[in-house]
Amino acid sequence: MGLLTIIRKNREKERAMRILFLGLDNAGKTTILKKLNGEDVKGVSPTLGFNIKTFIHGKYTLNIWDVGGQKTLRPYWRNYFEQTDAIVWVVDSCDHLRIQDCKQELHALLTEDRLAGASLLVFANKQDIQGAMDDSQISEALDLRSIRTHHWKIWPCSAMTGDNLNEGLHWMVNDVATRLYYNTTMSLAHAHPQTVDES
Amino acid sequence: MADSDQWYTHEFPRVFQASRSGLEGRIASAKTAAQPNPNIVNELAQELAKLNKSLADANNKLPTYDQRQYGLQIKALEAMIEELREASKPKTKFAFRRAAPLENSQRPSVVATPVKDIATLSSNKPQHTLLSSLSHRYISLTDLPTSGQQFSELAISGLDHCIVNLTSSTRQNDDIIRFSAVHVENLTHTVLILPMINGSILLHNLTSCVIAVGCHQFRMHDSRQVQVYLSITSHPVIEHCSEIGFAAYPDILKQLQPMNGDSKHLAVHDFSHIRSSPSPHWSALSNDSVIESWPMEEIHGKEGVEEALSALIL
Ligand SMILES: Nc1nc2c(ncn2[C@@H]2O[C@H](COP(=O)(O)OP(=O)(O)OP(=O)(O)O)[C@@H](O)[C@H]2O)c(=O)[nH]1
Ligand SMILES: [Mg+2]
Repeated sequence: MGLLTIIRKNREKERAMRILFLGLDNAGKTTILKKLNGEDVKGVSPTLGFNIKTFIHGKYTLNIWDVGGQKTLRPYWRNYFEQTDAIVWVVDSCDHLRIQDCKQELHALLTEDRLAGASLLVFANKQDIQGAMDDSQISEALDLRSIRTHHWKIWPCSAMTGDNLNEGLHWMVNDVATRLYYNTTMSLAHAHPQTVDES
Repeated sequence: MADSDQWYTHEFPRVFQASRSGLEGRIASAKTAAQPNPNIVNELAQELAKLNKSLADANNKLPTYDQRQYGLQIKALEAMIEELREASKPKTKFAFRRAAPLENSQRPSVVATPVKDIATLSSNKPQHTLLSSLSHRYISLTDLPTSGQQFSELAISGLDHCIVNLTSSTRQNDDIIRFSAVHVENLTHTVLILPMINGSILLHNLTSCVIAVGCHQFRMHDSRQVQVYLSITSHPVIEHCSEIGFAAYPDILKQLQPMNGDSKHLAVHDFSHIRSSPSPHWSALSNDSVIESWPMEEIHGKEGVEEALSALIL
């Protein structure tokens, strides 16, 4: 049995995915995860550090890392990049004033080698609020169409009503699964180069 | 070349990263507990102190870039442990009552057009509401459009020497605008009096201002000399701020806008000072320095506004 086959078998047995929730502060990352988990969404404080949540989605186990997006925490995002299967980029669709910051942070993130190959799910959150930008406006503002390096999809959603949260995750899980579990061993090797990072 | 130098270039990074990721894993698993065990938190803090010391010992023997990276990683771990410590403290219970039930769970069909020119006091439903580029004015709810938007977004940008009062004292009670998200930037010498927001408020770049607001979340960045009067159920956050004073949301405004009981307005998290020592960037406003008489009535004319402001902002 070749090494790649072994890696693939192990992956298959675990059926685990490592998901990174990122985005500017106030985007609604923590609230989305609480809502998905059926918890009360009121009284959430801004995240100082990170949270980990584990969900079962179909036959997959999602290990989700929700990292704080305040400016002082953004330099630490890189500590979480290793082995990431998908990035969920959460956008506050009401934050007209910072949409440019949001675009810059996203595009900077996508140049990271260690995130190469990860699927990108963009949540245009807070659609329940009057005056929110819709998904096509967000898509344009973030220049998503220029992204060639990652599979991506944008979903309008609301952490308050729960609209589209599961649908978005579902797309993401399928996208990752197609890449990790059904493809040939060759493309697996391409999607996840086994780099040794000594730094 | 000394052996120890060799060790630092080849072995140290591995040993350091191994300890670091070990610690990170342990913090992660401690975090899964509803209330982390304080003893474990202390153990983790000690481990981190050791790691930090090993880095200090390696001083000058590592490439500058690496050393800085390791320093940042230590700082990140510190923040995580601090958060864990916070979570390990016994919790004070609070029950949050919603000001009004969300009656409409459908997603509104948003056909908003992007805001192109920054028009003063402009709003077209469902376009976003923007208050911007004003000076020496008293601004009240009557200056906002009366479209009766229920759960809406408000952006305030670029005000100087203004008094903004968006509580319902200046409008009929049956026509309350309920804000769900408020974004504020670039204010100088301005007093902002807001009602209970059914969501969060975000403020950037304020200088010499007074803010009164009730909200679920409060974040203020890059600001100086601001008095904040808050009713809040989560930790208020400041980042890159100095000379910020916090106090409770004034009773006089509460009568106009019923609020929830418990407030965490003094449980401030300063993201620019993630340590156990008190942050030098904020303090509680003393009883004799809080504002007692608020400018709730409309003031006309530039001089009137200036005079009122000089009594409120030093
Ligand atoms: N109306 C509405 N409010 C939302 C929605 N999602 C989040 N919020 C509010 O937005 C604020 C920020 O939410 P958080 O979940 O703390 O945001 P975050 O992205 O985790 O922020 P950081 O931890 O600082 O990175 C809170 O006050 C939430 O109640 C939504 O879909 N609709
Ligand atoms: Mg959060």
